[in-house]
Amino acid sequence: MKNILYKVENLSKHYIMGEVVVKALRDINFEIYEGEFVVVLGPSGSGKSTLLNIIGGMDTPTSGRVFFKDKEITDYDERKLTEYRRKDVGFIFQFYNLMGNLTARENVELAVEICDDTLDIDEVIQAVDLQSRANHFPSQLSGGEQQRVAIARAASKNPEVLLCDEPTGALDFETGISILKILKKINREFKRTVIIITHNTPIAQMGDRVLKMRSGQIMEYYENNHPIDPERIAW
Amino acid sequence: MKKLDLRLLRMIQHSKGQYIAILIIVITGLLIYTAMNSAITNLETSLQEFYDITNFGDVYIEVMHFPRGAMSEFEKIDNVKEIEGRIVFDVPFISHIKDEKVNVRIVTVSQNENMVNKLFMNEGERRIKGREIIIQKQFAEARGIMIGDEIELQINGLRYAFQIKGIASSPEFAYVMEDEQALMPRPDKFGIVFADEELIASLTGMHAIYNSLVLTLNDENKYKETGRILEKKLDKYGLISMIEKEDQLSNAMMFEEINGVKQISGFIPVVFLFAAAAILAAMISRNVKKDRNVIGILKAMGYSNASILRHYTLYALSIGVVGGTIGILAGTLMSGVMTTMYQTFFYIPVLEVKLYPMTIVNAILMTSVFCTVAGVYGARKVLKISPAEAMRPETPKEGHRIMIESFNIIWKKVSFSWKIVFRNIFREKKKFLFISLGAAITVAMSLMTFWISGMMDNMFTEHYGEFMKMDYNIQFSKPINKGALLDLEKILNPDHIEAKMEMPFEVSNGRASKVVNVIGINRSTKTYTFKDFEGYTVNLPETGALISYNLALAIDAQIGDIIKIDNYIPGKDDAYIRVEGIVKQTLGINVYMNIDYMAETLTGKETINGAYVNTKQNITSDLNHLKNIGGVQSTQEMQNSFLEYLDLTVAMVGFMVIFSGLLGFVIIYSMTIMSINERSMEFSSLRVLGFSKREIFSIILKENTVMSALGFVYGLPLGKLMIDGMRTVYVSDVYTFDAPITLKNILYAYGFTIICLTAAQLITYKKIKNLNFIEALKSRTS
Repeated sequence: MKNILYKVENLSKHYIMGEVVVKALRDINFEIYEGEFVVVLGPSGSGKSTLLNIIGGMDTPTSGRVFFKDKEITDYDERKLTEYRRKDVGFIFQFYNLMGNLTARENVELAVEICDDTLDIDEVIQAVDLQSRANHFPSQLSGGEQQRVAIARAASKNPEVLLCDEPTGALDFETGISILKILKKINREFKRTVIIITHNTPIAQMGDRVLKMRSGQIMEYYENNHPIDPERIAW
Repeated sequence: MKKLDLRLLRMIQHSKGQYIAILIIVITGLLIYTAMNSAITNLETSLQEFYDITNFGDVYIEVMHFPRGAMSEFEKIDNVKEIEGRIVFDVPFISHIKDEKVNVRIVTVSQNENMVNKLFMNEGERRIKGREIIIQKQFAEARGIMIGDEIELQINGLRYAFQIKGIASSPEFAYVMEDEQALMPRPDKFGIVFADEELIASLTGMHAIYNSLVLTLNDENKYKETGRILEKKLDKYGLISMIEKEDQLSNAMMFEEINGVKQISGFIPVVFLFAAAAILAAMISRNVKKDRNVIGILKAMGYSNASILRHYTLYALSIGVVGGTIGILAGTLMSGVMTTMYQTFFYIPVLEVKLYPMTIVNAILMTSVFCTVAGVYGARKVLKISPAEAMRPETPKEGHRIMIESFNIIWKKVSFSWKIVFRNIFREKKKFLFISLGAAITVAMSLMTFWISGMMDNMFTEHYGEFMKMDYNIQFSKPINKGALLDLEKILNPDHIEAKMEMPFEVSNGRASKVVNVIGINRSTKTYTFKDFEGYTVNLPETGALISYNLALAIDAQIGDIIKIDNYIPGKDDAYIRVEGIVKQTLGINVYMNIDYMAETLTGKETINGAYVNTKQNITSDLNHLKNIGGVQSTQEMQNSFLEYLDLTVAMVGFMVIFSGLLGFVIIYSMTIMSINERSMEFSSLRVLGFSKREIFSIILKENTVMSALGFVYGLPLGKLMIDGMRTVYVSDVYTFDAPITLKNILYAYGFTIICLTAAQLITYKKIKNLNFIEALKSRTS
């Protein structure tokens, strides 16, 4: 019996842009289980980033509820949301978003020093295969290397879940695959839940569960009984 | 070290030019604050200690002849604690340098120790007898006189030799000026000697008679009541003047300086700290805007608002702490230099350079508060940044046309680069305000500095060249008959000579009063030119009086007011005199009257006590041999010593010029660097379009020039405001800062500001030159 990590109930998010109301999420419901590798698939503007931001405690919904391990995070105040982001969530972004004036290792340490129960930094750096580049600044690293630093930074906090917003979006095919392999490795070896949002359909093949979105709604939500290894994906 | 703090350190390292620039402003502000405050506290506390040690007198009385026998009666007056009589008069000091005129003031003392105004012995012995005298330290030092040396003084036309037994300081002469007109001490030309009372009495024939009394009171606050009793009782002894401690010349000059410096030390550092705080707030606010994405990531990682706010505020606070520490250290060192400089004018033997914990604590608190408030204010938008929004690209600002675009005919003729310039100026209103303010502050401060410099220069030339036109001012040792002027004329054979009667009186208007010298001169005087503030000549009236502007301010008198002159002269009543005019006078505080009207209303007899002489010859040696000559002031000598004094002013003005230039430089430099950093994408696009680095720099230059131009306009009224403030602070009994702002002052201020601002902009060219446009276009790291 799998434990529920996220339970999303009637979640809606509306933005007001001038005189237009943009409905980014429209009354969606789903559950995500602990230890899964989930792929949220959808074209640009489908609401997947908004969904990620809300379940990551970075944004608040217009209506609906999100439960994280039975606790309603949509009811949290600013202080509790900060605490939640600090302890339970690790973010990875499309454009890496590293601190330009900190080295790779220091970027990882930046995340670790505000958490209590963290992973060993060297171990994580080794896991992303960055030992020889750890003391380089982001400007001295390639895109793939920068994304690996971002993964190490998110994973080293030892969060319950890694939320990845288009982690391969800015990378070439081979580098993208290598990033996916690392994320899969973290999912398997460190037993962390990984949620990836992407517009890249082939990536869905590696997910334990796939959530397809369009226009703020869930079009399809299914369990993938035969997820494939990242090496076998092609786009 | 925490990684956020490490990021901060690297952020500082990355923007070191700006960091150092703001640091310099904070250091300068703190340096001025600490140096001035410590020097003034040194002066004030040491002065109080000196007064306590020497039992500084509370009341100073000048009297015609006070019999020693009357002393016991005065000791019994309620509130009088101690009373001491002295014989005080000025005599020529015989100099071995040809034609040199040196005067000393003889002050008699008891053979062993005085009760009031005790001498503080620097060297030698206090006990004197016969021809042994004690000499005042500044005079001894200036003339190289040592213990055991012999000096010659001319008393009543006869030369007497005296042996130096000791070198001492007196609280009454910590600041030694011959009179209020002198402005500054001339230690080599005028000094004090303390001689045995019995000896001087026998040489002058003033046996058991004093012409000066000094008292201490049990309660200083009851001076008015005690003064009235004393005045009544002293009437029969020919009371000339009675001055309380507050108005005693040396003490008044000291506090004049102390209060003036206190006001400046409260004002100038605040200007600097405000400027630093404003630049910091702007810089941090722009950094926060630029770091929107970084802040989003930090929040996504779980950093709280407080820790991110702290991160940015620490940048400002670090400037406060580093700048404060360096400023305080440099200021403390500078206070030593200032204190030594003060020693040249104010001689306080117990004066020492100390470290004042309260000044340091105040300075640190002041700078920390300024920088923290600036930091928090600048970084306050951190709180509003939502992490989810920060991850998305910022929505472009709503574009709108600027006002000038509605004038189509003009706008069409504006070149493309000028269009960019105008749009940027009007879209960045805060930056516009800032840069114009930077230019305005530099214009204002340099205008004030050049005005001070010009005014100090003019003060003497105006006073001794235009207001007073005599070559010599001769003071007789006692009032003599008017007829003696003819004898003096025969001896000196001058181009022009005229009599004067100059006596101190208490002048009051309502409740305000002031002891000043009333000067009686001929109505047709050729030695004075009176002018009002509009520059119109004012004639000396037949009746009534003219008063100097600073006296009018002190007693709140206006033309037409009837002022009361308390008459101490025995048998004469107090006089009520109409103010016929208020005249401009840069040095001194006086009342001027027709000499005949003065005799009729105040002095009573056809006597004079001095003369003004115009001659091209040096008459000092002729006067040395004459009896009844109390002192001679040569206008030329006064001007020469003023030029020496001016060296100090030049140094001070130099510092002020540097400080004001620095302020403008830093503001323009910081704002330009900020602008270049923020607009790297825009400039990169222009480079792609084919703009050269020079063309891009010229866009910035044009923007800054237009924005500064406005500062040049309102810098002038701002400068005038500062100058008016200086005028108010520095209206004193001794001098009035009333010089007009000249075109030369304005041109100098503009020229200097242009140099500073151009220098600041030229330095920023390096930033444009080194900007990696390709990297800027593809940069995605924060």
